Amino acid sequence: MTLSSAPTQLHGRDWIQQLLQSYPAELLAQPQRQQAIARLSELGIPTRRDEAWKYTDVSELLARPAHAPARVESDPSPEDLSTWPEAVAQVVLVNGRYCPNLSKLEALPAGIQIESVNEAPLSIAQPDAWLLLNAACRPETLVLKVSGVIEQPVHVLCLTHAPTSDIASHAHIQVIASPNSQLTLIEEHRSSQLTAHLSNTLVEIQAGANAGLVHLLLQGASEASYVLNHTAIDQARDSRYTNHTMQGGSALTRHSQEILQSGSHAQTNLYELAILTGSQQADTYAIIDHQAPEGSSRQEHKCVADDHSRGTFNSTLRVRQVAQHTDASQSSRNLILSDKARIYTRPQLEIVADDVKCAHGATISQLEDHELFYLQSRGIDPETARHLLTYGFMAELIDRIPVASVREQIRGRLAS
Amino acid sequence: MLQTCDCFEPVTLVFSDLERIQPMLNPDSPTLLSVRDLTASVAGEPILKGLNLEIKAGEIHAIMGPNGSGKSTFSKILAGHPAYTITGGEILFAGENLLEMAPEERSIAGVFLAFQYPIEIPGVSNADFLRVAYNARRKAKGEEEIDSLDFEDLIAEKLSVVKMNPAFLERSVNAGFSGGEKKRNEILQMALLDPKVAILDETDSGLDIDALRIVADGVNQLATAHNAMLLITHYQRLLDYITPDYVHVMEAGKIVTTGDKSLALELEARGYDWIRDQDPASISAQSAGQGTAVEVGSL
Repeated sequence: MTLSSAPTQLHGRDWIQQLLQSYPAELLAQPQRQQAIARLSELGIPTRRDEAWKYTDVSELLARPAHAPARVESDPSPEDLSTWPEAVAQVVLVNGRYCPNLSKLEALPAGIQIESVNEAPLSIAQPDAWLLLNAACRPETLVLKVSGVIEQPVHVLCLTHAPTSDIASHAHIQVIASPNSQLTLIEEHRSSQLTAHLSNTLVEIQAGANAGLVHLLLQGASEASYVLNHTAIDQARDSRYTNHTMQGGSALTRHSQEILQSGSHAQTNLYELAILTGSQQADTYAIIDHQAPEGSSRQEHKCVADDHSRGTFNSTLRVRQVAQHTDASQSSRNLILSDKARIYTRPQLEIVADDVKCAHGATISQLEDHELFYLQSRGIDPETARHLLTYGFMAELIDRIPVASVREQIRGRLAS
Repeated sequence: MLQTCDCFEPVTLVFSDLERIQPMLNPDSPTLLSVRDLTASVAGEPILKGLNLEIKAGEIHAIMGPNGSGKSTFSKILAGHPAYTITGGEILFAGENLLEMAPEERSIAGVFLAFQYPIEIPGVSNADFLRVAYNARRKAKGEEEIDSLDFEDLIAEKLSVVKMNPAFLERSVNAGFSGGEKKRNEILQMALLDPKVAILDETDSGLDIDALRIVADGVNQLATAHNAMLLITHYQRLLDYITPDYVHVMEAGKIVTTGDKSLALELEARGYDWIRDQDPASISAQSAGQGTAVEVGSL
C-alpha cells in the first residue's frame, strides 16, 4: 500500500510515502484507492517544471511530513461551527468526513438530498498528484443532489480539526444540480487551530440543463495552512455557473478550476480576489473549455500583494471548433504594494473556432504618488490613503458577492 | 436687497454676498500666506525663480499667466506635492513654516487645493471619502469623529453650496464624473473642510458656462473675512464671476506684475505679450488708478 515500487527520484516520494503510511491499510486497500496510489507512484508531486504549477512553490509544505488526522475527542467550538445568517442549512465536514450531528439541517429544503458515498470512482480525466492523493486519502464523498429552486444559500463548511499539527485533510464533494434547479453554495474552509496543515479538496459540479449555480469559495483557513482546492464543473446547455473566490490569509491558497461547457448557451462567471501579506502565496489556475456553441464566459481576477507575498494567475481559455459564437473574456489585474511582492500572470487564449468574441488582458500596477497626494491634500494620512486606494481596487469584486453577510464580513475585515 | 434675495436664495448666500459687497480688504487683517523668494525645481529643472506673494484674510487673489509660467507648480507646492524640490525661499502659513509640513498636515492646518485634474478613486464612495477626510481633521484637533448619520446631515447642508444631488455621494469618488461634476466635487470638499486659504488651480478649465457659474457661486459663498482665495487661471472668464482684489501675472517662474481686476481685462484684450513689452512700473501705474474697493463695491 505504499510507493515502494516508485523510483527514488520521484518528486515528493518520501512525503507521499509517509502520508500514506499514516492511513489504515484496509482503507487504502480499496480498489479505487489502489488505482490512485498506483498512478501516484508514476507521477510524483508536480514541480515548477509542470505548466500548471510553474509559479507556485510547495517546498515548505513538502518539508514537513504530513499525516492522517487522528480521532479528536472534543467537538469543535461553536465559533468554529458558526454559519452565515442567510444560510438555510449548514453541512459540516470535519477533516473531510460528513458530520450530520454537527450540521444544521432542520430547515434543509426538500430539494436538497445529502448522502455520503464510501468509495467514489476517480472522475477527473488527468489528475495530478494532489488529486490522486485526494482520491487515495479522502474518508468519503459527500454528494449533494439539488432539484428545484433553492432560494437561500447552503453553507458547506470544511473544517480541519485535529489535536496535532501537520495533518492532511481531504474532502470530496459532488454537487449534482438537476435541470432547471438553482442553488447558492457557500464553500468555506476553516481550521480550528492555528497549526500548520494541508487541506486538499475536490469539488465536482454537474450543472444540468438550465441549472443556475452560484458558488462562493472562501479559502483562507488559518495563517499556517496550505489550502488546495480543485473545482471541476460540467455545464449542460443553458446552465449558469458563477464563482466568487476569496483567497489569502493562509501560507498558500490555490484554486484550480476545470470548466467544461459541454452544452450550448452555457454561461460562466469567475470572480476571484486574492489579498496577500507576509510570505503568503495564492494561485489561481483555470482551464475554461468551450466545447459547445453560443456559450459565454467571463473571468475577472484581482490580486493585491504586499510584503514578500506571491500571486499567480494562470488561466487558459479554450474555444473548440464547434464552439462558434462564444463570447469570452479573461482579465487579471494586480496591485503590488511592496518592492518584494511578486505577481505572475498569464491569461491565455486557445481559439480554434473562427466566429467568436474573445478578449483577455492583464495589468500590474502600484499605488500612484499623485493618487496618494490627492488624498493627503484632504488631510488623510498616507497609511489611510493607501488603505482607501487599495480597498477601492478590490471593491468591485467584493460588491459582487451576492450573500450580504459574507460581503459585509469581508468589508469589515478590510476596513479595520 | 437682503429681502429680495431671501425669497430665492439660501440664507448663506445672502450673508456671504453682503460680506463681499462690503469690501473685505482691511490693512489690519492677519496675513495668512506669505511667500518669500521661493525657488523650486522638478527633476533638476528650475520652475519657480523667486516668487513673492502676501495674502491676508478676506482677500481674493488671482494669478494669471501663460502656459509654463509655473502657476500650477506653485499651487501644487503650496499643497505639498512631493514631485517638487524647494531650492530656496520660504512659505509661512499663518506664521508657521509651511514647507516643513506634510501634505495632510497642511490640509489640517487650513490649506486647500482644488485640483485641476481631480483623481478618480473607483470603489470608494464619495460619502466615505468625504467622511474620512472630515474625521481626519477632527481627530487631529482632538475632537471626536462623527458617525455616518451625523455626517449625512452635515454634508447635505454643504451639497447646496454647489447644487449637487445627494446621489453624488453614493458614486465612487470622481469616477465617471463629467468635468463640471469633478470641479463641483472639489468645491464641495472645500465647503466641508472650511480652509483658511483655498487655492483653485484652473478650476474654470473645461467648464461650460452653467457649471462655471455654479462653481463661482460656491466660491463666493465660501469667501469670508476670515479666509482667503487664490485663483490660478489662464483666462479672464472666471473673474467675471469671482471678483479678485488682486491680479498677479506670472511669467517664467515669478510674479512680474500685480494689479486689480482691470489688469485681467487688459490681459484678455492684449495677450501676455503685452506684459513682456511693458515696463512693469507703467502697468502698476495704469492699474492703480482704479480702486479695488470701489470696483468690488459697485458690482
